[in-house]
Amino acid sequence: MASNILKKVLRAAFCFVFWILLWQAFSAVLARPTVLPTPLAVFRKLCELMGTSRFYLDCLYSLGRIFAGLILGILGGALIASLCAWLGIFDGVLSPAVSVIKATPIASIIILMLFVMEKSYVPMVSAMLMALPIVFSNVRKGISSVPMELREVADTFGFGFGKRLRYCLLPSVIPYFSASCRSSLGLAWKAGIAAEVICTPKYSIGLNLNSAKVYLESEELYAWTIVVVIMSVLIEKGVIRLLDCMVKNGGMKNVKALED
Amino acid sequence: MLKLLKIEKSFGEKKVLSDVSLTVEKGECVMLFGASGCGKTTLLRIAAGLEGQDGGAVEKSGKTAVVFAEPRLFPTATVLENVTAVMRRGKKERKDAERRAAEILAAFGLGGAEALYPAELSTGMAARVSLARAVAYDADVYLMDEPFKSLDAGIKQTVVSYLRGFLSDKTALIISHDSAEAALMGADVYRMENGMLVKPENA
Repeated sequence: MASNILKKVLRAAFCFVFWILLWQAFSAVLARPTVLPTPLAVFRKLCELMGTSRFYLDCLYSLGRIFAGLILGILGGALIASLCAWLGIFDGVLSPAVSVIKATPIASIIILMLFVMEKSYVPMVSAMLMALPIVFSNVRKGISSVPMELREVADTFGFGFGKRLRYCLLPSVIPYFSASCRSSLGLAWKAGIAAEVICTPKYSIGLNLNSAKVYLESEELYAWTIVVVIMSVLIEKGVIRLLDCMVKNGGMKNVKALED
Repeated sequence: MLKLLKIEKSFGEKKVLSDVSLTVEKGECVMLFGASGCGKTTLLRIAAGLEGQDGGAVEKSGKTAVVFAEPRLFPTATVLENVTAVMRRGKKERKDAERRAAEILAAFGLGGAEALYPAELSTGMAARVSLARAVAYDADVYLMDEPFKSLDAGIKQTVVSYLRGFLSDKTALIISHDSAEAALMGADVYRMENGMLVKPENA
């Protein structure tokens, strides 16, 4: 057990050192710090940024905005999918709208949103619109995958809505829902940051990325990009753990995990 | 009471049930035999209301429970939850429901299996949980599709004797392939032939 953990740590450390060395080598060969600064310079900049309270404020605001959008997207997607499965008329009206959202480039959505709302809300709405179609289509699939055999059992024993939800619907929907949350998390995060770069709301990672680009502050640009990547990984890990916890504590121990 | 009146059913061109009439009174158990594909399960599904008929009528009094040919347990619920799921209960009656479910499970030789999940059960155990669930529902009409087929001889005796007592004041229609089961259950025997119901002369 302990040796396995040690092996994993050593492997991760090796990969990390390999990529850092490769980065160092490329920046040395290129010798153009505005295009590719050295890892050490970026690390120094990152430490400098982390020493200011503004850094944490920017991260928190970005996280709050994008996370709120993600939650709204997840809830909206699940709600619309349930409505569509429940009543055919909703399916006819809402499914094409969701397909249109899915097909529209995120940049178009961001620019259109800028016309109709305050710029600090655009990242939230972008994240929401990124997550909504993914959750919608997965939850729909989950609802339609409830085995007919179990539906018949529920019919036979006169199950009400609560029991149908507990014994038939949730076990089928949860794996799809969980997979859609995982997929939409990364996309919503990226879309939210992209929206921040375009809209530059006060207190945001996107504003810092944008000003680093404008003033050719490559080290800062790389440092903020690293922050975005690290935050994305941490949030993903956190949400996955939370979802697993919810599934286990919700009495769904035997729900099969759906591979992404 | 269960009354099937002139039931007709076709799947495409193929006529499966032709003018099938059968009445099973309260306290009566009828066992239905016949070759595979002769329409027994279709008749049972029509009686349960899971399949529509092309002609004729179904009359039933009271609640109906169905034991399907395959156990059809809820995969994310334990054995105990699978049984209590069909029992009407509020928060107050939860303990009583669990006690009653545990009693039924013990009667079917499943004492100690309450916390297991369906994936952890053998085919025979799963079949007994399915029977226990139907018993726990305490219906008036019981429709069972080959309920004993996965049970080994020893446990079958226990299950059949429990069911015979339990069904004594119920209406039961059971599909089977084993004539010995009819004798054990003390059931009236009917045979399905070419989509029609016939009562064997020696029955």
